[in-house]
Amino acid sequence: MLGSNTLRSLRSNVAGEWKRIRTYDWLKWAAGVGDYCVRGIMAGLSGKELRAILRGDVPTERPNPRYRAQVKSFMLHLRPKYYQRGSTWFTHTWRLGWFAVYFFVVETITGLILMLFYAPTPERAYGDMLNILSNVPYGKFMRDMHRLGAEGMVAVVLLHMVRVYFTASYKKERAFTWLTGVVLLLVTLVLSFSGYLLPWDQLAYWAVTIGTSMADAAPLVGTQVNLLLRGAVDIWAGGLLRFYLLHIFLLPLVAIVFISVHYYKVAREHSISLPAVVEEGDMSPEEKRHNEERIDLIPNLIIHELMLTSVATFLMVVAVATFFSAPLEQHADQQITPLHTEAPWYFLWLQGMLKLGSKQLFGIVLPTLIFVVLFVVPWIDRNPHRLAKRRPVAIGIGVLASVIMLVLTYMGTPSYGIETPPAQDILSVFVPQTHPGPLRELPWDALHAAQTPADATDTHRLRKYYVSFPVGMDKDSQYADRDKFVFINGLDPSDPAFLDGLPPDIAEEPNSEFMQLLVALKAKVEQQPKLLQRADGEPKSMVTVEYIQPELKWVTASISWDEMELDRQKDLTYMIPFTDYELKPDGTVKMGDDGKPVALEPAKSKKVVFDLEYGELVDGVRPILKDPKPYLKDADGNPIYFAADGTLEVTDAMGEKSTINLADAKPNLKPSVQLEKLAIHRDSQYHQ
Amino acid sequence: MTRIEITLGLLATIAAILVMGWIGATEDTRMAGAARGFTVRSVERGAKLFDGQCALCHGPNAVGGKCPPLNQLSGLHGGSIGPGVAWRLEEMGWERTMLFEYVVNVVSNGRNASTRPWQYKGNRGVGPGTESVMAMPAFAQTNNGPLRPDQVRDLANYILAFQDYLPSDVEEAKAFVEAVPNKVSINDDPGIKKRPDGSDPVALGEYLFNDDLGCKTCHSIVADQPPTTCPNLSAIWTTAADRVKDPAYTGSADSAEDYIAESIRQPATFVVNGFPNGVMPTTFSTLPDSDVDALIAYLSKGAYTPLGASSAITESDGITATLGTTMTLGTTVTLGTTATTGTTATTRLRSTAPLSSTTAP
Repeated sequence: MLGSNTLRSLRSNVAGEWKRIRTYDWLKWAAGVGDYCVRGIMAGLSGKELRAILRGDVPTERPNPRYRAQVKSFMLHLRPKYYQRGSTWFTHTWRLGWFAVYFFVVETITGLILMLFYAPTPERAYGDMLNILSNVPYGKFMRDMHRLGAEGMVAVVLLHMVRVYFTASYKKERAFTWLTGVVLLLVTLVLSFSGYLLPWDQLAYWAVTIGTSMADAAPLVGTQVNLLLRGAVDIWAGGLLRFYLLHIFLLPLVAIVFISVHYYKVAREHSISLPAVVEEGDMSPEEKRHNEERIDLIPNLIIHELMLTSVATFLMVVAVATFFSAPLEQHADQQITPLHTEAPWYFLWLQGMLKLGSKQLFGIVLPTLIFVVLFVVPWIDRNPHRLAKRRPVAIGIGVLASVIMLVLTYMGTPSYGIETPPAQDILSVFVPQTHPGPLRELPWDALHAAQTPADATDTHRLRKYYVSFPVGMDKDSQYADRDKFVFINGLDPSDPAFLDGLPPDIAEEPNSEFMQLLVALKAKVEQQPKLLQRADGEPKSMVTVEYIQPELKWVTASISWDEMELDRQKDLTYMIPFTDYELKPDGTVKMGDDGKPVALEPAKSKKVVFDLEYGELVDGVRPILKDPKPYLKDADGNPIYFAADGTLEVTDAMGEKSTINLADAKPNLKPSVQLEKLAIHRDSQYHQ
Repeated sequence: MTRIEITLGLLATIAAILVMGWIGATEDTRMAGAARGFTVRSVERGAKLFDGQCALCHGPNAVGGKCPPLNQLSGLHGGSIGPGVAWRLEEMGWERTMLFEYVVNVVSNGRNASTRPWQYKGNRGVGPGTESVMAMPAFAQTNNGPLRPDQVRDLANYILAFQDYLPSDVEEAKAFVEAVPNKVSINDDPGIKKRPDGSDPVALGEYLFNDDLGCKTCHSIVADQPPTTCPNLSAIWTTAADRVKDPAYTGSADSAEDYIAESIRQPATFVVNGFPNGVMPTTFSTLPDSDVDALIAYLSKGAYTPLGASSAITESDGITATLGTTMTLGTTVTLGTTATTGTTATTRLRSTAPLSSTTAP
């Protein structure tokens, strides 16, 4: 109830209130509000405390608010409050477990973004990749980061296991943690491999085809497992969808569960192991005590981790911006099997093992055994000591296993144990299937076609470069037109024979990269021992360049040779001339107008097979073990052997007997050619 | 140590942001380059596919063979260059700017019959057992062919790129195309039947029945041939005269010629017992009277002489004009036929199109 007194004292009240407002410490009030907000967000840490953390000062309050934060904050409660100093040595852990989690997070973020632009169907997948690369801002960046992160994660997880093994950190209470770690290694490998298929390019398609085909070799359930993985007999829409779902859903889920279990054990039960030297080495008590001191998560470790995050991210970004580029080959094609299918590097050891023998043993039994042994390492190794010098056997086995793995990895590469036909081998150097290669990387203008068209409608302007050719061919008047026929005689500008073979446009710059390539090809064709061994006479080689369109050229490179035919890849065959006659449908001999039987044109030959038996390869040559026993095959394929004097009586279709002589036999030469044909567009950018 | 780490971390963060900014700034250029690269690599793949799949018939590098050339000499190209350059697309009824879609369409679906069989037979009719094979097989996987959709697009990109051979100048391009030696059009068919001028209505009727309207695909006009889906028309003139007197007949015609005209224009009015309704298309309702008259003349084997046949009715417009002025039946009279015929002409069912045009002369 307002009374007159109230009114009377109003003035002084207002004045008092005004004074109070004027003199109130608003700064302090604002600081209080700010502090309240900061504490609300930062799990009870005050602004002052945060500052102290960043400056490395001691806690500003008691009890230690940093420990309280670890109780209040969900994210921080996952972390341990402290580690012992020894456990945090960089050279002890190399932060490999941390990096594994870092890459997992990178993969999740970039993967989610990539998923926005990707549909897992054979019709769309590859097109989506091209779209990501050419139409999505930062699309290539995200894809490269995802790929780099995947490689990094596999590498880091592997190294983490190696580190834990060599520091003997799997012992006693950490045995179960090791077990979950091996599961995580497996999950990481499969996770990476399942992502391999998604771009739906040749590389992906064939690597995964071969990968899943190994499941086929598994006893009893092999076919079923293979079908389950591929969704059909061949990988197609079903298989792609399965791998996609494995990659984005099931495997990440399994990984998250096992990472949680794995990390729970580390954070809450046994922490990171101390280095063996601290635990059982001959350290002075002070040093030992120093290394057993607690290092708090906040501030030291958390700042260290933030630093690692930004440095690692920076390095990845730089790698992606400069040199690292995720590969993308041609669209997956069931019809075209690549020359070499190479597994991803972390499975090369498996590919190497497969070269050793049976698929069952080396593809299924041994790998399974390896992982079983890995799982139970803590239970096999009963040695309580951790110092390397007290566990020489374990260290020895570890080193040996690592070396074996590296050797197997080398054996998995195509350079080991795979014999490609020599001509294909030579051409694949110049025109590889998996990357542009030297010919493609030449500037477009360096591929000289003929300068003048043959006639008004000739837009092709074909020019043939004879790289290896029969002696004297370049002197033949038929090939006098140097604009259309170019002969490569070496690469010596002072040699008149060399310049003679060149048209003016090439002679201007005889040392051009293109010419160097042609000369390199010449050298390979004329000196490849395996090719020379196969070929009868000199192998020939030619490169042609022609225009298809104003901005498109055909470049073909071919190697041709006459090859001695090997029957059943073992026996040498010769042909022996033999007259035979044309038969009518009823089986009787056809008579010509002149009443004589019609001889077959061209004259028929009989295939004489020399039954050879080869010994082991010595210096690239297989010795013939016994004297060849030449024979002809009768209608049923049974051998009819020649007599000792080299003759054999044969009956022709007329029923007349004649004698054929082995001396007339000529080697059966099969004209062979290996050809690579490339369409090269001016703007295809391979040379950039 | 903490300070060094904080500094290092901050520097790395800033540097990473800068690098990403630099990537972002150059991203448009990179994307444009990548897009161009993918397009031309598509042309390269198209060239290789052409070499493997198409060159056997269309010649190496698309110069033509037993099938037409598809290179710059083909009349396919020209796109935006100018009129007359892409004559083949015009001939096939496609927009000249739709070369890509046209090529994709033809490659995917193939061609049942060649459009220029006297020059390019394709695979049809080239030997025993090839009378009914497709002139060009369908190549799309969806049509059981060998090519994926992206490969068909590669081929189309390759074919399109021949355009670059054409001069960009419109006049030069036209001159180039006119000089093309292989230019053979559908209309150049030496065996093609020309439309008779109409002075002989039976000849015109025969042309319409057999070659133009395709009546003969359903109706036989050979006597004694059993009817299949549609009635045999060999004796329709006498049948029609009887039919209009038949009590079962539901139409409005009262003469043989009216009956036939009604059957052509409004086939649903009366369907002979035993034949299904709705088989005969209704599209003939717009046929000009002269054509209907010619058909009647042909089917009556000359027994029916259409109105004014002697004065060579070739243009339907002439008749329409005459009929348009319905009141001036004098025209009919001047044409020298009887008044009864004139009446018949007005009462006969007329196509709607010419009638409607009468109101707005």
